[in-house]
Amino acid sequence: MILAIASGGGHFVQLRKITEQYSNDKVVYFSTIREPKLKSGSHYSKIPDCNMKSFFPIIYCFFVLLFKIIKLRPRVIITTGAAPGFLALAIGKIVGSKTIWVDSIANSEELSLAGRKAKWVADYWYTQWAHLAKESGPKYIGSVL
Amino acid sequence: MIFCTLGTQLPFDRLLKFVDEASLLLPEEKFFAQIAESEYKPKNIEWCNDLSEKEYHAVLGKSKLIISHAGMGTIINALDYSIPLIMLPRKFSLGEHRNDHQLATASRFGSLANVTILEDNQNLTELILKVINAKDSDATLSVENESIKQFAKKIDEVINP
Repeated sequence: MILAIASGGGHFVQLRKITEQYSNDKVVYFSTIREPKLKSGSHYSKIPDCNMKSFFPIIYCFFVLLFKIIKLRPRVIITTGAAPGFLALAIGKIVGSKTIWVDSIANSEELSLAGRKAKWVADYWYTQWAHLAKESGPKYIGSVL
Repeated sequence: MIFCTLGTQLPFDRLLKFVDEASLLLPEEKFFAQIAESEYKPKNIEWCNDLSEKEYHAVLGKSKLIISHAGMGTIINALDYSIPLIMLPRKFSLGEHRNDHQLATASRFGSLANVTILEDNQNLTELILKVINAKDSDATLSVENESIKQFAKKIDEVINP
């Protein structure tokens, strides 16, 4: 099972672009919006929103995600950000999932705060801009545009 | 319809006021705005705080122009639907976002064929007229599906080695 998680808006638009190749029984989506536009029959769960500069929403989001991810036990967790995706990867490291961070294409001059911290929790750490890739990571393997 | 979207979070009163005022000078155009958490409430156009995704796509299907913040979701959807897009980036210095990445997004994607940046000294009404009167061939761009497919394939090689 693949857990694909992102905040609403642009993050989730990008996440769907790179995961629409998987059938409904292979992937579960988590995001912060009410009614996402997904393939019919997709598995979806709404999660609380937070950002890296808010303390209590982060704690709340962490525990909601911890509960859901322990129940789901995904083999892979992939995220396009932002803060909830970072928390999910951190939890993924605890429960033994393969963790993948794809930094948002919106971050074209530097990685976001969550994107920089994702280095510590992502087994695979990617930027969507070739000029932001470094020898020590993040790597560049393409982009959604 | 001309669709003004300010994303799903954070206020953006500056752009919303511009759009509300421009609508008075363009009475033949129907406007609709998704205003997120903006404090300013439009006086001259229909609006809502937050559309569901289904409603959002229904509005996109009827839109001939999008006016928005410099958000990647809007850019990608505008490309998918081949709708011209006028963008005003949110500025950190005005408290409009948590950092200045939208200025970078505007400079990176402002050169796309269907994207026009509203510069500080520009009049929105004039820019709207210029964009909607441009020839269709100038205003649209098909998305490079091949590059997305390549990227998705590389991601799949990581997920399923």
